Parts: sequence; structure tokens; C-alpha cells
Amino acid sequence: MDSTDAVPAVPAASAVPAPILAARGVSKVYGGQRGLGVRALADVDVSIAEGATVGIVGESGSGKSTLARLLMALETPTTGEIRYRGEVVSGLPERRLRSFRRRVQIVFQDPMSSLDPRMRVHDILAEPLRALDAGDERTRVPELLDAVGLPRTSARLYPHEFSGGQRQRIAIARALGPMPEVLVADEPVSALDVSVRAQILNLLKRLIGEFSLTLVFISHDMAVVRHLCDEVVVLYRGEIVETGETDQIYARPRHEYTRALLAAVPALGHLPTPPGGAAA
Amino acid sequence: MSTLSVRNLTVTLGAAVVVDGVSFDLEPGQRLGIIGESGSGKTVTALAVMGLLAPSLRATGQVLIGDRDLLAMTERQRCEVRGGTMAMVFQEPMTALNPTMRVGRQIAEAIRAHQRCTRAEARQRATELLARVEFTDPARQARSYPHQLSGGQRQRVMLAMAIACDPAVILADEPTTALDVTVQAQMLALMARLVTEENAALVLISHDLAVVSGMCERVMVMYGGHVVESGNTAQVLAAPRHPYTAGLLATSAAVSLDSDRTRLEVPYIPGQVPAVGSFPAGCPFRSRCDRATAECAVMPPIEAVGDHLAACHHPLGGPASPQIPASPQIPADLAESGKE
Repeated sequence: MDSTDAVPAVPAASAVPAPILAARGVSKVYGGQRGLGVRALADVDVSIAEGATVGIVGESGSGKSTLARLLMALETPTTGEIRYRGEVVSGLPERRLRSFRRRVQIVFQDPMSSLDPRMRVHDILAEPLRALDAGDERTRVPELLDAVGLPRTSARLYPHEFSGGQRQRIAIARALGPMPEVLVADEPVSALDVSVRAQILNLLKRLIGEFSLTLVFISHDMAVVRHLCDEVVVLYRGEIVETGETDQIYARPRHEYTRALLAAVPALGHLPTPPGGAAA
Repeated sequence: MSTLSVRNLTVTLGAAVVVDGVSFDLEPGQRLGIIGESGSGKTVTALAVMGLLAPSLRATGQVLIGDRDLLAMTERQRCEVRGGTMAMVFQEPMTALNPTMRVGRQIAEAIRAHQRCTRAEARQRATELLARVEFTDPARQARSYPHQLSGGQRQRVMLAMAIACDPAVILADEPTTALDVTVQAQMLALMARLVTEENAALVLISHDLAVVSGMCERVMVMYGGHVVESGNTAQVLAAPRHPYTAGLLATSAAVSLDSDRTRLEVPYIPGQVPAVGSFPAGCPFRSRCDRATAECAVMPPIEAVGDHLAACHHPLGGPASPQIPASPQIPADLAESGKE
């Protein structure tokens, strides 16, 4: 609770830097009257430092996508708040979120449903630039295509003319358009073929460096999270069960659920270990 | 005689060849993994073996169950084989199960389609089968509708149905892809146990090398409708000969729980899987392969390279050896076998 004061836009390199994005005591209940609906998240605290790469892992129903939507201020938490550089963004009307929208962008799992099939790639990439006054589309669109490794001629084509991996590149280019500080990626490689997944992982890793991005990476894939993220938050049934540095958590998981998750990852040459009767 | 013998199976969609000359044999208790990405033809291969192809697809070759050719059978004869001698587990149990029928009754229906018994007997057997696939309260859960069950439970119902009539062959198409990783581990362990208990042959289709390597002693790698590499799983993984297999393996190994996570770039296969019908003529992989030459415009035959089979003009680790290895049955340990 020490970071509630407003901080300047560019924090000094002080001892304890204020988080760029934080969830404080966040709960989310869907549907029903007070306390009667489905509780997707319960009293979650997450603090994301500028420049960090944070993986949020968990299985279906763990609340990880809900947390992503709350961090993006796409939904309002039932209790608690989301802060961006110390300022509350949860519950604000859309017109007051313009600068936040430029700073925090998202890439979704399925690029086929997140790209408008009737729009050409140029317009898909230009739309957020226009909406957020984020630069001249004539120069920015070719730059963005370069950044994600697509030929500039792609701008004239429609999403269905691309493969799954290329579509995900388009979605990443669109997210980079407004020059965000934070990129939230919700299972961005889960729908891709194995041989293409590595290309997108390499692209993300390169872009994090090139654009000095803070990454929030939502995934059920423990190996991919380990590859991309320096910190991990483990969610189970809407609650954080473990959080810490990637190397530490993967080498010495403290919570039983984290251990079960890691043991269940298939590895070359042997059967994964099912959790000891805990899974439903 | 093999339990299942597939000979030169070819599936066409109009002028496009979707599966090209796939052959394999399965003995009782053997487990074969088919690895491939989207468009590789692995699912179409399974559907053709089951006789479940869409009308627009045409299969030629032979699918021999004992001495009977499934492709030459009438639909009525095939219905006896399907669910009886051969059973299939699909990727998405929500679409494979009937949403309007209690799961116990669906299993009972599968039993009565193949075996002479009363309704009560079938229902009793259905409950026993649910217990075998680790339902804790089978009598009660038999009365559930599919939507009342979790994804893992639904997939276990599919498995119960598959083993209901003591099949000789079980085909499982990405049976755990839609499941959470802990549930996947549970499902794989259960499948391994049941297949062993039933002494059934298993064909496990997956995009995940790790899943197949833990389950199957033999593996077939498909790309663009062709089998590009096949053999003992440990031997294939220890020394892949086809550049596609090697690429998949390098990618999987580079992003794993014990890879070097500080590396900026992991090895990858350039380009992407072409759409069905737009693979290059000759070797389907040559448009993405750094070893491709003019020679690759002609599809290489699948032949012995070292200790297993590969279809490549320029296999890794040197040219094709003239000898075919004795028998690919050595339960070789991954760590020690064939490091070259």
C-alpha cells in the first residue's frame, strides 16, 4: 500500500521502483447478487515492475484470463483496484483511459477472432493509431510490419490470407502501434503449430528488448513461461498460491499445486506424473 | 498376422493428395505414435483407418483387420468393426458425445450395438466401465449429462466407450490436447494402463513429441501427407534423420523445463506449414528445408537410414545405409542410445 501516491510519469531509478501496473486486493465475481455469483478471482495482489517479464500461470478456471482483462481495465473488479503508475484505472470511464490504452496493449490467443476479417491489414494496424493519435499511419504501418517480420506488401491483404503464425504477427504489430510500455499477452502461442511457435517466441523476446516492453504473459504452458518470463505468479481457483522469481519457483516450488503443475509437464522420453488424486 | 495392417493408404480430395502412401503394421499391445502439425494428414489417416472419411474424400490402398480389408467392406460391415474391433477417441469430447443423453446410457448403447445383452446388463457394464476409467461414484455419475462433467471426465467417458467392446485397436486423435496439463497427465497414465490391461494396440495421434515419446514405443512423423520418418521412438528421438523431425525436436528441446532460458533465439523451422494442396511437389518439406537441392523435386522413398526409416535425399548423419535393421524393438534408453 506504499505506492498509492501519484508518481511521475518516468520514475527515477530509486531503490524500490513503483510498479508500472498493479492489482490491489482484486476480486471478481461474475453474475448473481452480492456473493452469489461465480467467484473468478479472490483478493489478488500483483505488482509488475517496469521492464519486468511476468508470467501468470494456471489451468482453466484459475482466473488468469480474468486477471488479464482486469489489468487491461477491460472489466471492473468487484472489489479492489488496478493502478497504472500509481493512479487508479479500474472503473474509469473509457474517455479517461485514452493515455492508459496507449500505454498498455494486449495480444489474444486466437488471432482469427481478434482480427476483423473484413479489414485489410493496413487498416487493422492503423485503427489504434487513429483512435489514440499515436502517429502517422503512412510511416508507422510499414515500420510495424518490418518490426514483426512481415513483408510491407502484407498491408493490402486480409487476415484470412495469412497463416496462424502470420496472423499472430499482425496482432502483435497492432499492439505495438501505439508504442505501449506494457504488453499483455494472453496465451499468444497456444493455438500455433509447434514449428511456428518458436518463431513467435523469438519475435516476442526480441521485441521486449527492442521496445523496452514490460511483459505480462498469461499461459498454461510452464515451459513457454519459463522461457520468456523472469517472474511467475501461480494462480489456482482464483487465488495466488505462489509467486517469485522464475528460476527459484521452477527449481524449488513451495506450493503443492505448483509442484503438481511442473510434474505434469510432458517431457521427452517419459510419461508425465499425474497429480496425486487432486485433479478433478 | 498383424492386428491392423495399413498398406499404401492414400486419400485424395479432388486432385489434391491429402495422405500419400501411408503403411504400418500393429501387433497386439503395440503403441504407435503419429506426430504431425496441422495439415500433415495425421487425422485424415486415422479417419480413413476407421472408415469415417467425409464423402468428398476418397481412400485407396488397404486397411486390413486380420485378413479383411476395411476399405473393401460395405458400410454395414464397417459398422461392426467400428466400436467393436476398432474404437476411436476424439480430441473434443463435447462434440463427440451426445449432449441430450446421459453418459451411462451412451456407453450402454455402444455395448448393445456390438454385443447381445439386455438393457440392464448393458447398463450394469457401463457403470463398471466408468469405475475402470476412475470415476469415483460411477453409479451416480452414469446419470450425468455430458455438460455436467469436466473436460477430463468427458474424455474418460469417451475412453470407457472405446474399451466397452474389448477392441483390438484403439485410435486416439489428440485425446489430451484440449485438457489442462495436470488432467492430461492423469488421462495419459490411465490410457497407458487400460491399453496394457486390454492388450489392445494403440495409435496415438499428437502434435506433441513429448506426449508421444512417453506413451509409444514406435513413432511415425508425418508432413504434407507423407510419412517422412518412422521407427523406434527412442532411436528416432536420439538421432533424427529427417530435417523436419530434427527441427521439431530442436524446437521442443529448446523450450522446456530444463532448457537454457537465457538464450535470445531458439532454433525454429523457417516458414510455415502450407495449406492442404499447396505443398511443393516432390518432398513436401523442401520449401522449408535448408538441405534441399534440385534432387528433392522427386519424392524420396522411405528407406532405412541408420537404425530406422526416413524419406529424405539428404538425411542427417550421412546417406542411407544399405542394411535394414533387424527389429526396432529395443527398449533403448533415450539418454544413451545412438548419440552421434
